[in-house]
Amino acid sequence: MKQKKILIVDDDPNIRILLSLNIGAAGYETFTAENGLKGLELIKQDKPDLIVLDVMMPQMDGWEICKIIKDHSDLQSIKILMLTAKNAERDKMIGRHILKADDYMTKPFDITELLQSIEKLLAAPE
Amino acid sequence: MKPKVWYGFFLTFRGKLVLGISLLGILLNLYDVFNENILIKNFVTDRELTKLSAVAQLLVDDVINDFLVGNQPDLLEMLYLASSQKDVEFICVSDTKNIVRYSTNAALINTVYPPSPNDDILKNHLRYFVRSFPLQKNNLPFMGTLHIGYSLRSAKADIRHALFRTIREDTLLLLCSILLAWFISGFLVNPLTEMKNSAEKIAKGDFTARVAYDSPDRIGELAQSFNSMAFQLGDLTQNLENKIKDKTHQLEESNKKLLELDKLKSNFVSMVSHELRTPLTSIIGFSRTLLNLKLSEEKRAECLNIIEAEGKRLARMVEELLDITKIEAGNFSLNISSFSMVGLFQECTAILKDRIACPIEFKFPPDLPEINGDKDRIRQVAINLLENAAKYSPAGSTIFVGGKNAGNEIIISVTDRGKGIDENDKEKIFEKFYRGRDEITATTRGSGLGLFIARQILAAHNGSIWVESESGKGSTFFFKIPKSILETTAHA
Repeated sequence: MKQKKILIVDDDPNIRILLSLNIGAAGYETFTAENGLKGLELIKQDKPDLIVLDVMMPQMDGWEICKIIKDHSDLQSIKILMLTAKNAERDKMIGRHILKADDYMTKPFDITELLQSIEKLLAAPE
Repeated sequence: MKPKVWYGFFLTFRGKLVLGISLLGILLNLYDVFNENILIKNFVTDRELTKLSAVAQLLVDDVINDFLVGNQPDLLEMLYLASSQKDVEFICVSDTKNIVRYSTNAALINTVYPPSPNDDILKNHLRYFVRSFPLQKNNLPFMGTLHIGYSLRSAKADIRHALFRTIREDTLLLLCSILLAWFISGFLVNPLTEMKNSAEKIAKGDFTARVAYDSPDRIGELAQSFNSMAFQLGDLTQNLENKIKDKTHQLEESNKKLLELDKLKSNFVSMVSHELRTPLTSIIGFSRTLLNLKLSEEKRAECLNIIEAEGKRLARMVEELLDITKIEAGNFSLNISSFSMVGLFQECTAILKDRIACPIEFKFPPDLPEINGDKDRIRQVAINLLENAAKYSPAGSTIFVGGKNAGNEIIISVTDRGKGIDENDKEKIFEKFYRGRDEITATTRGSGLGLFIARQILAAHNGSIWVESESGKGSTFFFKIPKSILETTAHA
């Protein structure tokens, strides 16, 4: 089975290190981007299976990237896990229902839970 | 207001006026009728008596002549002729013993008929009255008495007639006077009615209502007072309305400001929660990673370093948030003392020795004076600037600290050789939670509050802080502080 590719987009270097370390250890191929623009470039270039996406980032925020991907016929199948420090109910609603993110987790998150969610999203039929 | 009930009737002002004038008219008329009555009676009495006397004077001479001659038929004929005169009821002649000898009324013959007294003819209620005239002439002896019965019918009719006419005329006059009273009262009441209508208009809020009555009398004065009152009321109301408008506007403005403040506050709270979550995410995440994964010694050390750095960042953020709370609550008090800037920066260097890798070079002039200020707060600013300079400088490049006199103030500068600050960011970096991006290492990340607090500290000292920067060549932060700060201005 081909190793699944996961892109981590977060402006916080610590979170990037944290996520690559753990997701890598779980057996996925990881690569990172520190802002939305670079993230979008990598998405188009490498076609990851899943994106762990931060919301509050400079230049282009997570909402925008999420919308672009879900509106793009070639990229629609990429799973999106939104990861954000915003935990207001309104933001959760936007993430889940309007922008059709596949999952939505708030910081500080539980790594075990995050890995379970990734596993579930990648196992789900297309 | 309830109208006054007057003997069960509602009387308007006009009604009262008319009633008063009418009563006066009635009284005057009654007096007039009474007076006229007396005059008429006197006149009629005189007239009738004159007529009677005229008849009697004619008769007395003839009766005496016929009496002397003894011409009875002639005498009787004369009596009958005289009694056929208007209003003469009867005529009789009595002798010296008051026994009637001749009479036009046969029933009286041979009866005793005493002379009638000369009383007021109208006092009796008889159909007629009798006047007696003695039959006496020159030196001839008293021969008897001539009695004339005189009817009062026409006299009374005349009196009645005259009285009726008087009453009729007076009634007509009375009606005229009542009518006149009605018009005059209307004339008097009109300005009052107008005033009433204007007052009602004013009560309904129309302050332009005026009374058009210009006369130098009391009602004219009242109308003028009313008009000036209406004007003042209108003026006051206008003022009041303007004031209310102003106040409402002010309230709206302050409400808007409060809403903005509230929005800023909730933005601040959501930013704070976001900022606190970030180091917490690292601390919790890396701790779990260490527990879950079997990592190399090198990786373990990296994780632990991050946990420590983020823990410290969190601690500092909490400290700085407390500062901000103090600043925003307005009880940011300064602890003033005299100190030297050179000494202060030397202390900072000692404190930061282990924290920053860049060498620091001082370029203070020898005559830089001591200043008055809150030493701990200024040190906080200095440390923040030095840490920032180190954070954005390439490893090993020197940080320059300078100072110079500027009149009553001194200016301190901290220069780094970093990549510089965008023109757009030069003011934003002094805002809460605004951080320069692309920081060199994760371990030196700040809270985003340092420069905001620095600006507040300098504002409290009546000083200022700003940055000059050329992209790619580095930045210089300046702060200006008065040499002596007065205690009274210390609580900014």
